[in-house]
Amino acid sequence: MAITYGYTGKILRVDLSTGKIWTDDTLKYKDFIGGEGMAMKIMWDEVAPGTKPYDPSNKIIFGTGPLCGTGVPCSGRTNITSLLPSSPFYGISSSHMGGYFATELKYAGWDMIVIEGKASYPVWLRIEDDKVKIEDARWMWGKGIFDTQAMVASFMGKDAQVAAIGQAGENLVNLSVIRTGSSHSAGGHGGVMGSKNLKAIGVKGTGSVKIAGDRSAWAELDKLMMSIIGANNQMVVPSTPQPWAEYSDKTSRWTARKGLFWGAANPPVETGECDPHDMQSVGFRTMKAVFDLGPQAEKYTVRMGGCAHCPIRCHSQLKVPQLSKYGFDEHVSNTCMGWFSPRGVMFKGIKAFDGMNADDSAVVGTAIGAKLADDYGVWCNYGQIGRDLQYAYESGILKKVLPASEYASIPWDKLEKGDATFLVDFYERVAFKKGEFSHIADGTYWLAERWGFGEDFWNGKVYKVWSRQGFPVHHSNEAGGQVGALISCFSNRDAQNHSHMNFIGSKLPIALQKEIAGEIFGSPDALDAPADYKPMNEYKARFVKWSLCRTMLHNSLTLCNWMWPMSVSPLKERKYRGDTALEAKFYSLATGIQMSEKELDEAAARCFTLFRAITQRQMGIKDLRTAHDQTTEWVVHREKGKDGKEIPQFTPGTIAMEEKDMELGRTLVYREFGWDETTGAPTRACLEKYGLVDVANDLAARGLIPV
Amino acid sequence: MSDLPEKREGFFEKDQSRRDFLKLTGTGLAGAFVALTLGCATTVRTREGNELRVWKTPEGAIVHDPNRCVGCRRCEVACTVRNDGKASAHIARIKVARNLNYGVAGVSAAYAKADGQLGNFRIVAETCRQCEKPACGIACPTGALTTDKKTGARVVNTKVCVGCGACHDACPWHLPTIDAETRKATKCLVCNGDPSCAKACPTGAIRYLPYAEAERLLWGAEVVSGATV
Amino acid sequence: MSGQTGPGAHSDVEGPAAPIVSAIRRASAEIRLVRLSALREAFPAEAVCEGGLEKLLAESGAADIRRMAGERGEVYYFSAESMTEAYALHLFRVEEHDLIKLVAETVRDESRLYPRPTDLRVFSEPPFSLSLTQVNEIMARMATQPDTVDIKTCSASNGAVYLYSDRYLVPLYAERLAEWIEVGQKENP
Repeated sequence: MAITYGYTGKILRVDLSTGKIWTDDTLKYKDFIGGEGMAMKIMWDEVAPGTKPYDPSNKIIFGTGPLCGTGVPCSGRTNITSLLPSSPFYGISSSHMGGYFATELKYAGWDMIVIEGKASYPVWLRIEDDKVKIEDARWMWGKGIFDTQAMVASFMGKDAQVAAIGQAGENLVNLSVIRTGSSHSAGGHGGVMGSKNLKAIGVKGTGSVKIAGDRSAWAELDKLMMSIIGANNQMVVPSTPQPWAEYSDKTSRWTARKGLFWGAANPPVETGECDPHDMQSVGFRTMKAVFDLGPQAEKYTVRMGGCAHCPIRCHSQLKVPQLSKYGFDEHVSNTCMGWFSPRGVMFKGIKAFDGMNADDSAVVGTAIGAKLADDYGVWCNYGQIGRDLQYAYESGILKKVLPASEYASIPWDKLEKGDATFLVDFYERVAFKKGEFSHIADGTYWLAERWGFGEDFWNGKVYKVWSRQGFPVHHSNEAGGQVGALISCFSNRDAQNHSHMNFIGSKLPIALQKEIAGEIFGSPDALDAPADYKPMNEYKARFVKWSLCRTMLHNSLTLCNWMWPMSVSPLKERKYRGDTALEAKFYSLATGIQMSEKELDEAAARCFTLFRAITQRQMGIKDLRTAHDQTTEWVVHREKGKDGKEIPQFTPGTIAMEEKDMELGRTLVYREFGWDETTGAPTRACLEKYGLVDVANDLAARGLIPV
Repeated sequence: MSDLPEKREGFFEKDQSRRDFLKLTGTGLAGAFVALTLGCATTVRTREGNELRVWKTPEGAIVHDPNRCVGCRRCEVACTVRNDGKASAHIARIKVARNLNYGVAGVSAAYAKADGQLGNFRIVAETCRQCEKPACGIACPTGALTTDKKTGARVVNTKVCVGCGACHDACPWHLPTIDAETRKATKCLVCNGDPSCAKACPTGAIRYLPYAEAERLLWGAEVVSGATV
Repeated sequence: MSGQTGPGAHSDVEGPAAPIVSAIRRASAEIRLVRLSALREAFPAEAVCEGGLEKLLAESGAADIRRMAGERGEVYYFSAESMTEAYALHLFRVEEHDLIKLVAETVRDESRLYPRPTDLRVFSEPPFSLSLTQVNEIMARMATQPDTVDIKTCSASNGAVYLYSDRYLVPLYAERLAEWIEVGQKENP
């Protein structure tokens, strides 16, 4: 076999129904970059519309890309694409996990794994370089993810990396995860693995990823990248004034400072000043424990962890001795929503419980929830599960839909009192599908149907549901005006897009940000000051397209979209400019396939358009604008001030969007992509431009192509 | 040590550490007249007529601090991209991946209490100690392991290496590794005195220290290979 | 890693200004400003030369040395190699001991620049490090002083108090931003 660079060149194919294992050629899909892009192509080609997530004919694709494994900063992510059980039309979607699974898969010689069929009994997949075997998992079935990983490692050796489902995935809970390592979860597709009787995938690789370009050129590029990189979410300003810094912002994730420690390290490690020129302190910048959990988390922090080849460590790894009291090991790790979702379930707040003070209770309570959700493998629909519970409970619906005995058996007093041991009961009911209550994890759309949620839910701003598809706000209008709002309209689940946020949220002064926006998108008007939004314009539409495509690109390369792209930098001498061509530079050097920034963006636009086409084919409708791209109503309703008066849109201080303006926004984004400006469906001309003639023909045969 | 003639000590201090000297004298070194060529392992003959290879003391060795390590494994790829033109964990000369999840001891029923990301989060990398009396080099049947002229690191001459794995087997920590793709051994060569792994570390957990200092840290009672406690 | 800030590397200074420049750089590396009055005491001979220390430093050729003049006649020096002008300005305001001005100017800068209201708690932390009593006193006095009438307070729904300048932010906007900082961003990780 010819030597390939960046790519390993091989896709692993497994049919669990027949036990057949074979190899496919990666490079025949190279127009789709890798990871998510290639998965879209395979799903289009091979999974017929009408297929349901838990059907054996559905496929689940674990994807890496050509930069994964090369050591490019923040390149450790796994993209998982399949049909989404919580979606009303089982929309194709991707979930992502960090950790060390993806790099190990590359080193074992595989770019992707495509799994189809259903095993007749529980199995796990064992990958040791080119040796692949389907193993009996009956002994593992019923176990949590932590034990499952250890069991697989006990077979394969301590250096195996494992992705697994917990009881939630086994029991086909729609909101369930696939998880690897200490705390890396991909939310949404756990049940798909469960439906295939696939408990885990273990992988060990002794090979390599080859770099096509010159070694010193590669080292130079890495050096440039390391100078441009900021803290988590590419925040380039420290949270407190620092001698080296011109700016500071207390909401920055660049939390390191003198006097702030990994307090439970032995001896404690000071995060320190972290001058951006000091490459040996990049890993200290993001002291996420205090950012996520408050100052009281400092004393519990053993270290910051994260993913392969990423110098920005955003996972807090804590030693919480109080956990032993509840039967858990005292070590717990997580980040972002992994901490927030249990807090969301405790929607009345975690208060002082079991004799602990309020601060410690908050950490311990959150840790209990994080540990349970991670072991059972329960997903939160980006925090929505807590708000669904809140609505069902507070509206009285829950009391009506649950049998009285079941309702009485739930320890509501603990929820009311803020005693986080409520979570022990909550996650157990969910993971084991116990009783009517467990439907709370069907996903918002199915749950609302089943329990009869009213319009007050869908239109209640506090419940944050973004789409009638049942997914919530995720960096939408509240954070990015129309840019964020429109990005969220094109998803089949919460947007999971950070391409815009890693720029908007840099924490640099607005004038500087607008200058940079002008350079990237053609006008400073592409960006508004936070919560001071101006009407829609074509530059914002460019920003939207760019963000959608960059995220697709990152999930294809695979790079972490929680760090990339590098629009900005912490360097005054660079005038805080980043380098948006870095992806293309790394891609070209790694693979030896020369691609300019523009060409790579176009390839990503091809993948995104294909994603759009799959969505359209699944829904079987012509008009995506009306049937898919709309938001819930609160998004475009005027907010009320304290005086009860309505605040007009585009007034400083309101984040409300305006209906007509949003429709204009959709039109302008469709135009940027070359889609039909009325329906938002990809046109034949657009599909043909991207070489997707077969897609155009298929959609035309179904009467779905705009005329 | 006071019984050592001044002149001799000076000579050996230059080319060889005291510890090795004492070991050598213990086996009955035929004479200090043997000229030790700088920069490579030299064969000397003992009084009993046995051949002994004498190794130049390395200039330094790499030491890893488990308390500061964040497990990003940038060191591994920095090592192999520089030295092999490809990214790999298996042949990296600093070993983080293999201990990352379950520590040096490996997976056990008590994994949650043990080292590693699935336990107490402690990350222990193993690095080459550049042993004064390198088991890898002594075991090599083809003499492919020599000392680097500049740094004194024990390095693999890939022209001579036959990929038999004797070095891997002989090393108490199994640090030399056979590259499955080239069938040659890889082991730490300290990158000409400016190790890539240390430069790539985002928390300063990897240091290239003068040998005496490294030796003190690496050969203490409670250390695992290449890592301080 | 001080010494890497401010890429405009200095040429080595020679002559009588050299020890003075060194003293300023040393202080800056320790994150301190140097007062001219202190320099005069430390370098009495140079202080009395024609034009005094200020002229000597201005003509020293040390590109990294920055000068800031206070309101009551004091002059401060720092080296841009070890701290940014923005950071030095914080220290300057603290050194000048005009705490009302310190708070008001910081708040105005932030309201104008980012824009954002300023968390009151920021002033209790380095480099300001004011006591709670001081902060409360400043707040009380600012409410009555005519030159700080633009400084207003707003609060987030969790009770956190923020300051802003109404020259740059309208009340509704300031309040929304405070809410975003305190509550919104945390719900949107």
